[in-house]
This record gives sequence, C-alpha cells and structure tokens, in this order.
Amino acid sequence: MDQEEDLVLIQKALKEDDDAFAQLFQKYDSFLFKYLLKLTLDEEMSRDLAQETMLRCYTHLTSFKAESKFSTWMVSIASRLYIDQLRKQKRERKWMEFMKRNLSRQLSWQANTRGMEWSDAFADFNQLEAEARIPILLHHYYGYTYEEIGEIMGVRAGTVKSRVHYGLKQLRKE
Amino acid sequence: MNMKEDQEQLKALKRDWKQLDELGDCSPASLMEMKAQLASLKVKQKKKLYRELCIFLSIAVFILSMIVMGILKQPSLFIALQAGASLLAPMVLYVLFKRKKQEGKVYS
Repeated sequence: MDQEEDLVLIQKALKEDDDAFAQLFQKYDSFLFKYLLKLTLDEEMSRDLAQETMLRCYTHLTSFKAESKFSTWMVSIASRLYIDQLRKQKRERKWMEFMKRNLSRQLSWQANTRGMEWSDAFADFNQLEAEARIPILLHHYYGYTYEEIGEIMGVRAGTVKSRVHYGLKQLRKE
Repeated sequence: MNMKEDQEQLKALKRDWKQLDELGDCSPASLMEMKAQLASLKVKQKKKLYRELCIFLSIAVFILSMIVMGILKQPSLFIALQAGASLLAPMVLYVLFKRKKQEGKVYS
C-alpha cells in the first residue's frame, strides 16, 4: 500500500509536479535524517546530507526503476554521499575531523540533559570504517538483507556479509 | 562464545541507536517548508551549473588562444608542448579515472 502510494507520487513528480515530490520527501525526511544522524553523529552534517540527497533524488528520479522501495533507493544515495564526503575529508587531510568520530557538542548536550548514557560498544562502533558501519547499521537495526545492502552499496552480498563479520570482530577486539 | 558477545554488543548498540532516534525526533517539516527547500535547492543547483559553465568556457577560450598564439609565434615550442601533453595526458586521465571510480555512483 505504502509502496503503491509512493509510486503514484513518483509518477506525478516525473511529470514535473513538485508538490508530489515534496510530499514524497516529507514522508521520508525524518527517517533519512535519523539514519544519517547515526552515521555522522552531527545534526548539521546530517541535515546538509539529507538536503543533498533530496536534490539527487529529484534530479535522478528518472533513473528510479521501482525494483526496490523508494526508501531503499534514497538510503543508497544518502550512504554513497556520506562515503564520498568522508573520502573528500580524507583527501583534504582533515584528519582530526575524520579520526575523531564523536557526538557533536549539541547532541552531547541534549543527551546529557536527558540523562542518556552511551555504551562502550557505541564508541567503538563509531570508530569503524564507514564501509563496515553502514552494513552493520542497515542489517542489525533497519533489518535490510545482505542482498539489499549489497544493492544499496553497489557491492556483492558476500562482501556485505564479510564486512559485517569483520566489523563485529573489530568490536570484539576493542 | 563469540556469538554471545556479538549479541550483547548489538543489543547495546540498538539501545544507543534508539536513543539517537529520540534525539533526532523533531516536528516533521510541513509541505510548504519542503517545497520552499526544494525551490532553494533548485536555485542553488542552477547557480552552480552557470558557475561551472563559465569556468569551462573561460578555460576553453584561454587554451584556444594559447594554441593560436603558439602556432603563429613559436611553432617549435608549440610542437614541443603538444608532444609533452600527449605523454602526460594518459597519466592524468588514469589518475582522474581512478579517483572517479572511488567515488560512488548514484544507485539506479
């Protein structure tokens, strides 16, 4: 039902109906932002990436084949944008930003005021490479299959499985 | 043993991700806001496109004028530059291709 509704909106958006696209994106905005927040740990960066994702979805909507859910396609674009951003940071030698992956000050403050505590596993997980963090998050939190994650990341399902396995092994070692 | 350890780690991680979801909870943007956001993104993209087009045209004009000047004023230097560029071009192309391959494509 949800998917059918999305397809109707996509069809309308393809006919240059911006209202339909805005409606479609409004539906997934929160989901996308929260997904990116778990990767970036930074509200501002997540917001920027979500906007960039929105623009990419808009400009590449004709390439959406409806073989997967719209949300899966959107997560794929967002994940690749995030990985590209990390690569750019690495190239620009922003090592401090790249290596220290902690909650942003604003999120830390919000978490403290709500009395939230974070596990050691969380700190260790955030130091893993994005190539391992993304599949672990998608598989174990969002419930995507290895095949779906493979499509999202543009790699084979076997590669995803080994990245998840390697990531969890790293967490055990830490 | 490892499996049990993994399960415990994942349980803790899931709890932390749930907390992050709570932190990311905010009132969803209205349809008007989304439309405004889309409109501003489209304007930004248009500006970026014009800027890139200007840079491309300026570089093209510069290169063409250099070529014409080279042919007219210093034919020997022009030939030497052409030979050098033919040798360097494959290397530059290889580096650019490698970099592009590293960057993700849009999933379609």
